[in-house]
Amino acid sequence: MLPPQRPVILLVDDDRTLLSVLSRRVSRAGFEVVTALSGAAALKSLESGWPSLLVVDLMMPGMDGFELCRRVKHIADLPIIVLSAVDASEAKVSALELYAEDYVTKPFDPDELVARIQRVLRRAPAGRTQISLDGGEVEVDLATRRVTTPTGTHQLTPTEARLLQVLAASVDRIVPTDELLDRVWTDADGADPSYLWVTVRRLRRKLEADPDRPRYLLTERGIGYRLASGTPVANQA
Amino acid sequence: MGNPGLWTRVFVGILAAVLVPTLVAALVVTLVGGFVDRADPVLLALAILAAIVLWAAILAVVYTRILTDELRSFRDLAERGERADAAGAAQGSALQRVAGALDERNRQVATLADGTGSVPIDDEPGRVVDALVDLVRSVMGDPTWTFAILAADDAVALPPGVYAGDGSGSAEPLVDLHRWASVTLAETETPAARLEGPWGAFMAVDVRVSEGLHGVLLSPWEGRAAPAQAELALLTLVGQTVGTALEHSLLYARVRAQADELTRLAAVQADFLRGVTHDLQTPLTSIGALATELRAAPDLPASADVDLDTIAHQAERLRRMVGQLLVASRLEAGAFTPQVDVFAVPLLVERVWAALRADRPFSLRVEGAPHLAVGDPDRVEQVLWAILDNAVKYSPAGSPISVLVDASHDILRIAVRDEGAGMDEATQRSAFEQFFRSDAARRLAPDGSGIGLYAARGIMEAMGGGISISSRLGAGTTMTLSLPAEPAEAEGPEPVGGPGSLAEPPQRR
Repeated sequence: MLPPQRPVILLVDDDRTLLSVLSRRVSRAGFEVVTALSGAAALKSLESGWPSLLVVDLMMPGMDGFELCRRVKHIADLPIIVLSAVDASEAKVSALELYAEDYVTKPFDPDELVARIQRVLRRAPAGRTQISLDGGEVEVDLATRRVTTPTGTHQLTPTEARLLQVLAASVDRIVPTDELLDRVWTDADGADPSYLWVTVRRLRRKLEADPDRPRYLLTERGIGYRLASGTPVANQA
Repeated sequence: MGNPGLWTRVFVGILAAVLVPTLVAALVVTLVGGFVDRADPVLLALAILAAIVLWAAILAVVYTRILTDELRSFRDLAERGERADAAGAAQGSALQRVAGALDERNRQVATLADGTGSVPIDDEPGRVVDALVDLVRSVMGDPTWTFAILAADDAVALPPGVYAGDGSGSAEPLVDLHRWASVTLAETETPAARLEGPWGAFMAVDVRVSEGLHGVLLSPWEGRAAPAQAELALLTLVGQTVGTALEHSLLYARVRAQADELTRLAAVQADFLRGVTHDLQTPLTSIGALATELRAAPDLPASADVDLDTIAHQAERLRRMVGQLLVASRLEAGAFTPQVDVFAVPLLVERVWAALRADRPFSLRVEGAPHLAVGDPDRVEQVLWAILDNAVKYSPAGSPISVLVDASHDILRIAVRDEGAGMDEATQRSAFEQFFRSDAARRLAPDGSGIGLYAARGIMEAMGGGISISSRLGAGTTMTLSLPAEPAEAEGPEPVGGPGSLAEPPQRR
C-alpha cells in the first residue's frame, strides 16, 4: 500500500526540540523527514518538491498552522495532520477539518503520531471527497463528513468517514474485513471485527432508508463489505 | 284607632245611623200619641224623618271630626315616610360613592401591583425608580409624582401626609426633604395656607428601601384639600410597593456585581490555566519522546535504563495531568467536544492499568453480552487513568483493585473498586468539584491537583455517560463510569451477502 520509495513527511513546528525528537521518531518509522520551523519556511520547502504528508503545529508565531494549511491546500491537495493545542477553539478545529486529514492534541505520544501518519497514508491515495450513490439519492461529502439522504443530513464520525472512503475507493467491489480494519483503524486502536460490525451498523442508520435491509452498505458474509453505488456515479474531486 | 276592621265599623255605622233615629222617633211618637190619644200617621212619619235627619247631623259632626283626625295622622305618616325615604336615599348614594371610591382604590392598587410586577428588574436603581414613577403617575392620573432617594443616616420615619416648608429652610435639593421634614416642619393642617416652604407643599410617603436607604415618594400638593385617610393608606401602599421593587433591584445589582466579579476571576483563572498548560505541552512531548528514544539506544547501562524508564514514566504521568488540565480548561470554556467512536473497554482498562505500573493485585472481570462503548476512547482512557490512579493513591499498599465491566440495554458500566479509606458523604458530594480535595486526600496524596474527577465528570457527561461514587468510610470506594454502548455482535441473516459468517467471537489483534 505504501509507495515503493520512502514517503516524505514535512514536519512544521516552531519548537526546535520537538521538531528534532519527532523527526528522529518519524524517520525511524521508515519515512523521509523534512522539517520547517515556520509556516513561511514550510511553503518555501514546497517549492523544491511535494511531501507525501505534512504535520503542522497549529500554534506558531507569524503564519499560524491554520493559515499554512489553507495555503498548502491551495497549492496541492496534500494530506495534513495538525498538532492542535489547548487554546485552539473547537470552532477553529472543526474548520480545520476541511483542510486536515487528522489532528493530534498536544501533549501526545510520538508513537501515536506515527500511527496516524501511517493510517492517513494507507487510505485511498486519490482524495475522493464526494461519493454519490444511486444517482444522487445519497450524497456523501468526505471533506465535511456529511451525508445527505432523502430524509435529511447526518454528520459522520471520522472513523465512519474513513470506512466509507476506503469502501468508495473500491466501489461495487468487496473489501475484505482485514483490509478494512487495517486501513480504517490504527494498530493502537486494537480494533477487531466487532469494531467493524458496530461501525457498519451505525453508518447504515445514517445512510440507509431501512438499516435492516441495506441497499448501499452490504455485508459479504465471511469476506467483508461492499459499497453498492446503485447506478455507479462517483465524482472525482 | 282601628282595632276593629273597616267592614265592622261600616256595619256599626249604618246600624247606628238608621236604627237609632227610627227607634227614637217611634218612642217619641208613641209617647206623644199616648198623650194625644190617637196619633196622626203623618205626624209620626214626619217625626221619624226629623229624628233621622237630626241623628244624621249628629253623626256627621262626630264622624267628620274623627275622619279629619285620621286624615291628619295619615298625612303625618306620609310626610314622615317621605322624609325617611329621602334620608334613606341620601344614605344609599353616600354608600355608593364610598363603594365607588373603594373600587377605584382597588383598581389603582391592582394596577400598581401589576405594574410593579412588570417594572424591569434592573441593576440600575435609577431606571427602576423612573419606571415606577411613570407607573404611579399613570395610575394616579397625576403627572407631578416624583421620587427622591436619600441616605438615611439621620432619617426619621415620616408618616404619610402633606408637608410644607415654613420658609426658613434654604433651597436645598429634595434629597434633604427628610431632614427638613423632621426638623423644621410639622404636619400642616391646612397645607394650602402654608406655601412658603422651600418647595411648597408636598404629599410625602416614606419609603424604606433597604438597610441605610430611605426614599420619599412626593406629589406636589399646592392648593389641594387635605388627603382623606383612605388616600393616605393608598399612598402608603404605593410607597411600600415602590420600596420593595427598589430593594429587589438593589439586591439584584449587588448579586450581578458579585457574579461579574466571579466571572472575571474565573476567566483570569482559566487564562492562567490555559497559559500554563500550553507552555507545558510541547516540552512534555519532547521529554517523553527523548527518554523513550534514549532507552532504545544500544549498549545502555542497566542503571541508565531504569532511570530513563522512570523519566519516561514520570513524563507520561505529567503528560496525562496536563491532559486533564487541558480538558478542565476546555470544559470551562464550553469548548469540549469529544469524538464519537466505538471501542472495546476491557482492552482500554488493561492498557491503562499497565501504564500506571502499580504494584497491586488487579482483577478485571467482564460480564454480560459483549458490547462496544460509544464515545471518545482517548478521553475514556484519560478518565480511567484518573480513576485507577486515585484508587491506587487512596488505598493501602498491597490492597487489591478490581474492575468490573458489564453492559446491558445499550449502557456499559465500568466499576472500579478499591479497598481504601473510603469517603464520607460530604466528600462524595464535593468530589467532582474543580480543585476540591478532602483532608483525607491531602493527607494520603499531597501532590493531587483536584482536577481529575472534575475533568472525569465533564468528559463522561459530554459523551452522554456519567460517573458516580459508592463509598463508605473505612469500607473502600467504588467509582462507576457509564457510557452509551452497542452490542458487539455480527448482524443476523440478510438477503444480500455471500456464504460464510462474520459471527465469530471478537478477538483482539
